Amino acid sequence: MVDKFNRPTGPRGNNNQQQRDYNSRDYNNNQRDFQRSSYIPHKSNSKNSQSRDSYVPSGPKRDQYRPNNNGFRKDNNNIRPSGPSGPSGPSGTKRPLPSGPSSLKKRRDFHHNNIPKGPKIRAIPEIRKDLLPHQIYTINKTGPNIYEKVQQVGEGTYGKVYKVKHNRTNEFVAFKKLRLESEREGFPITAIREIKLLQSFDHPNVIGLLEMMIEKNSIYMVFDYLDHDLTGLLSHPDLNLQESHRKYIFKQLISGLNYLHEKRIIHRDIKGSNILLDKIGNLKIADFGLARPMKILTAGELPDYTNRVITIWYRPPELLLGATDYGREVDIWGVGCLLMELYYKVAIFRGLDEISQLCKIFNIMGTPNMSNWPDIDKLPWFEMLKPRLNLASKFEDKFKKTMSIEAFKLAEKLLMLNPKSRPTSEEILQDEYFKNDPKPEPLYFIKDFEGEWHEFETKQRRREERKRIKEEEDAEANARKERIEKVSPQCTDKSVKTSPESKDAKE
Amino acid sequence: MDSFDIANQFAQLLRNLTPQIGVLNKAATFALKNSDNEDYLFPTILNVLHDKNLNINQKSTIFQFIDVLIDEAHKYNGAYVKNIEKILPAIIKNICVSSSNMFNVYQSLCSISKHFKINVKEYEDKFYTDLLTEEDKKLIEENGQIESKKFDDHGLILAWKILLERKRRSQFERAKLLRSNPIHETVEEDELFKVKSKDKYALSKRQILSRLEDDRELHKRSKENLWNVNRDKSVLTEQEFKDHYWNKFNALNDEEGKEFFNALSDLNDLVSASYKDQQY
Ligand SMILES: Nc1ncnc2c1ncn2[C@@H]1O[C@H](COP(=O)(O)OP(=O)(O)O)[C@@H](O)[C@H]1O
Ligand SMILES: [Mg+2]
Repeated sequence: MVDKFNRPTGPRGNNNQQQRDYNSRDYNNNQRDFQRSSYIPHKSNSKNSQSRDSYVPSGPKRDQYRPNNNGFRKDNNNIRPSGPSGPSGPSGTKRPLPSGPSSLKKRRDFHHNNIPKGPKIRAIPEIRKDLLPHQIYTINKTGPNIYEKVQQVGEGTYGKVYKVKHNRTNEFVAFKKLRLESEREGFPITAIREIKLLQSFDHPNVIGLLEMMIEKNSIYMVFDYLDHDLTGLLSHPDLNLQESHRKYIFKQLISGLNYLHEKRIIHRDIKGSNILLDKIGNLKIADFGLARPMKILTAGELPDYTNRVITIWYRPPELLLGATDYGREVDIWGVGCLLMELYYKVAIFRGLDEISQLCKIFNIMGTPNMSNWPDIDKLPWFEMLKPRLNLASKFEDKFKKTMSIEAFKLAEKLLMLNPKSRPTSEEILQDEYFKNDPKPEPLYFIKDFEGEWHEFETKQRRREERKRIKEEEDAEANARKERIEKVSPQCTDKSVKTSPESKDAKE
Repeated sequence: MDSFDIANQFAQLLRNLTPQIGVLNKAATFALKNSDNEDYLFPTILNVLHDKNLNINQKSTIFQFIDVLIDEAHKYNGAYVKNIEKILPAIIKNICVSSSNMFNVYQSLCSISKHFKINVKEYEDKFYTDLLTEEDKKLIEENGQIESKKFDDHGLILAWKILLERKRRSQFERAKLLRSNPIHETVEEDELFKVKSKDKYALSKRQILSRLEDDRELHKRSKENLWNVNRDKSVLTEQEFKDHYWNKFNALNDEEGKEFFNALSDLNDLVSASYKDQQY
């Protein structure tokens, strides 16, 4: 076994498998400590890391000495490129070693045949032999055009997301640019939270951070590139999902979510555009801009989080009613909405604001009553937003026929109004839905889809389509007008056209 | 400025209150700085509340102001505290004409009560329980009307009883509604939430949405002081870190405490060793 404090460090290590096992074990320890919240850094622990010859205090880890280019390329199956540290538990300090990114492993999920390469590979000039590795720093000036922007694939609250090609490896990665111009108070703390969370992830169904990049005044997070997101994919006109495909997608979604929830992380922005999919439907949960670890509470203490989270269509009733002491259940509602979307391709509750959103939900799920949600009147905004009518649930009438019976029953549980009645992600994994046939199957057929389908492109396509329709209609109207004017010059066309935009909103 | 002018100015401040900590503080400071004129100023609060043009959201904001006022009053020899207590029942009656204000009033009343030497825990806890009596339940079944209770109490206790009474009425109405036959048609939001009702005590949709936003903002601000410490001396110690932050989550015993400080000093050594240049 590898000794805890003498294990191979980043670039010099050559037993990846061993190291990986070690990592996950180490991680679990951290996890437990975190939950007990009684972790005290050990004396021996820090002493040891201090005396280790390879210990490098935080700082330019990425720029440490690296074996020369050729060697690195030859056996890089065994070498972890250096970079941001791999999975580290929330109580970070306990990990004695910077372990290099888990990028190698992460990339392997999807590119079995590609040899993973460090994000930047440079020749290192001759190194004096009498220096220890940690005494050598290199200032990396990435040559021009190492990375080449291919196209924009996302536009979010914080900044743009680009598909980017690495010119030497021909691999694609995604750059998420942090918008800093508007930040008067320095580097945004929310971004730090996002980066910290991302660095700690190590699961096939959760996006991992490959590295951070700084260029002039911009900061980028670098991820594996995935061709689609769920919103984009579901908008594809030729998409014809079978039950086995839906199950394949949903199973991965729940596995990823279960991983996060076990780590006591609430995602708080579950929705189609934050669920990424590759060419055969392998899935990763992304966008941790709103995610947070749950507080550790003493007896009798309640959590107190902001309820300004989750895109409104996916926001559960307790948040719409002002809860600040919510938990993982808010994500479960979100995946419930997504399960429905796998059948109907569009979100089933589409409100314009909090009030109309609640109205949509109550109209379909029925209004809450004493037996299904007895303590709803404890929520802060209940008196303001309490239903003044008694509505029956129309969920069964509306959806049962068009779903498999297992899927319908599962959706019913996920979309329980009362958060306490919703199953946990762990329970969902044990659900009949996953036990019964058909078994999950990858979406091999989407390989043939032309182009990439993210919400961004979908919106763009839709905009273009609308523009085209509008131009056609305008042309038609003009032609008609001209015709009419020719016949009787006083008469004008007064009919009001409803634009597709406003029709959409009303649906 | 004479007392009349000051009262006028105060009334103006109250009418223009918005639910932002800064604004609430400013009004409270104004009242407290002019506490020489307390006798002129405190009746202004009720006068403004009785103004027919004041909407439901503004009423709620005034109660938040009272919360801030009482909280700051100790810096001014407890000015206003006695007088406010006297009119508290009338204020609550006025502000809770709309049940929408109940939750905010409850929260503020809990915090106001801390400044009185009266134990109101009983009432605080009751707010979240089923307040309906057996008679109430019978009336609900008979589709009857709720009967109001009368109280002989004064001041803070009466204020609490009025609030609980309001809550009971709201529970009564809800229980009656839940007994009605469920509707199977799809309804519009105006009907479901009565946001277009002619009832002047009902909130409009716009008022509700702005209220949600204000509440979120206030909630955010309330967290800004979460890590504030009242520090007597001007020195910062590791003991403080242990007592205020670490122990908050998991109290350490002596042995663990020693280990804790050892660990801290190790960390400090580690950090200073990591600098290439000598620190201090
Ligand atoms: N790794 C990635 N590969 C491909 N597309 C991505 C990737 N990460 C994000 N995107 C696209 O960019 C969009 C915005 O990214 P996201 O991380 O959700 O940022 P925001 O917080 O701005 O929503 C996503 O909806 C997705 O379509
Ligand atoms: Mg997003």
